[in-house]
Amino acid sequence: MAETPPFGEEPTGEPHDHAHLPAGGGGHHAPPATPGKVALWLFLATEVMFFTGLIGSYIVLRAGSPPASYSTLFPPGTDLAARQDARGVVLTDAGPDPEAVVELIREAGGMPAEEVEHLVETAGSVGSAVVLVDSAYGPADVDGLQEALGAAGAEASIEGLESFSWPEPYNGLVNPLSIDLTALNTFILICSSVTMVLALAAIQRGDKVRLSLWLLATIVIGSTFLGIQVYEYYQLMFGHRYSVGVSASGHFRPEASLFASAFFTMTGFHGAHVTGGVLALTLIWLRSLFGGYSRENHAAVELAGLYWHFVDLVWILLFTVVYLI
Amino acid sequence: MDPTGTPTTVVVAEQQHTSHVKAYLRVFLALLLLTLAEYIYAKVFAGSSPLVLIGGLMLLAVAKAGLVGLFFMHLLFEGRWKYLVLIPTTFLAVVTVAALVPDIAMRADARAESAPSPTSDVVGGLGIVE
Repeated sequence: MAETPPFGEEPTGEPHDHAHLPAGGGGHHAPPATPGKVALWLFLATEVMFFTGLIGSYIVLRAGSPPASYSTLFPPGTDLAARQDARGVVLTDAGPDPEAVVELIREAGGMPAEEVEHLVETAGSVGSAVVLVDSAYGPADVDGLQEALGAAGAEASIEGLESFSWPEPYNGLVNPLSIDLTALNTFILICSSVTMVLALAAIQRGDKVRLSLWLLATIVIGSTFLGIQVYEYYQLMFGHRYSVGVSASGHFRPEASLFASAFFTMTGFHGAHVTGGVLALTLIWLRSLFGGYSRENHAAVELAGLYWHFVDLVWILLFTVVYLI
Repeated sequence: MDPTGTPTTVVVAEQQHTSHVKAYLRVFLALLLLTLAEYIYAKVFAGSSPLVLIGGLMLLAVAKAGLVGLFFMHLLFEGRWKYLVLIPTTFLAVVTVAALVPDIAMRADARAESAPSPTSDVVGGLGIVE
């Protein structure tokens, strides 16, 4: 009589799972469609619909965004019809005396010193920031400030208005997202997919020690991904004070623009999925420490792995759609 | 592995395992290279036409997603039942998004040509409109 598997587990079936793994050729049997696997794929189908809804809405909203919704010199959504002649001072390097630069900008624009200090710091890390704007509705001496900044050893130029339908990547005056940091995070998440698949391969071979080690590696790497995402969110919402083209408040928060709300919705939901994955993997790892899985009985590892790879796959698309394009 | 567990079958199973791990590592390497290619492509073609930038990057992203799905999620090796899940899902997902395109993405927008509000003002010399 066949042995009944423990609760939450199911036999992985014969022929053994190895038969379907990449062996580089045909002649193999398809792995069995166990109830657990089919159920997880049905769940993933709903997840595909969910993320398609998010990414699809983003693409549609972006395609329908009016031509001058974002600009280098005014907050997102500003009516630019009578502001085409506006000019702004763009600071690219504060030079040897940042305090003097802060004071000059504060005097010229009337902004609180602390805010200006943050703005100058952000200009240093992002690459540039608009520090004063001269327009028909708000005259300001941009030439005088540029001259004074030059005399203080700072690098600043006067730029005309440039508008976009959507924030361009790599343009710190309208888009605050750090592609370098996120490319690193993408690399990290891909690494976690490999450790996950190696954990499954280990238990398929019956190697319980390596299963636990690869699972732990996946949890640590997944948590690192989340940690970097939290750091990114903190910098965007509180840490930096961005140029006016990013947000009226200087902080990139969901209410700043349609781009900001779409960004936080998509990456936030993905982050929640990664968190769920890390928690599930932690439970599986703890069970693996007590020998809860074997060569014949490891469906939970396989199903958690499917979910984890799906989360990785979604991030690959999100990184391209939200950050790079 | 054969239930008899003879030395020969054990060796075959070990060889299979090694080849699986090698295949996973090759896919991993391909994913890293594609990510690097995406990063460089986005920088080099940042100012190019949308077709070149978006088309190229989406091609690379789909290639990466395909590798993860086919090899790591074992879709390449599953039976035909996978189509019962994937085809309806893909169809519904595409239709849901495509249905929004005429209303939102292709709408005519008059906002760019509208007159500025007479009460608009700029504060702080930083272009912030109140």
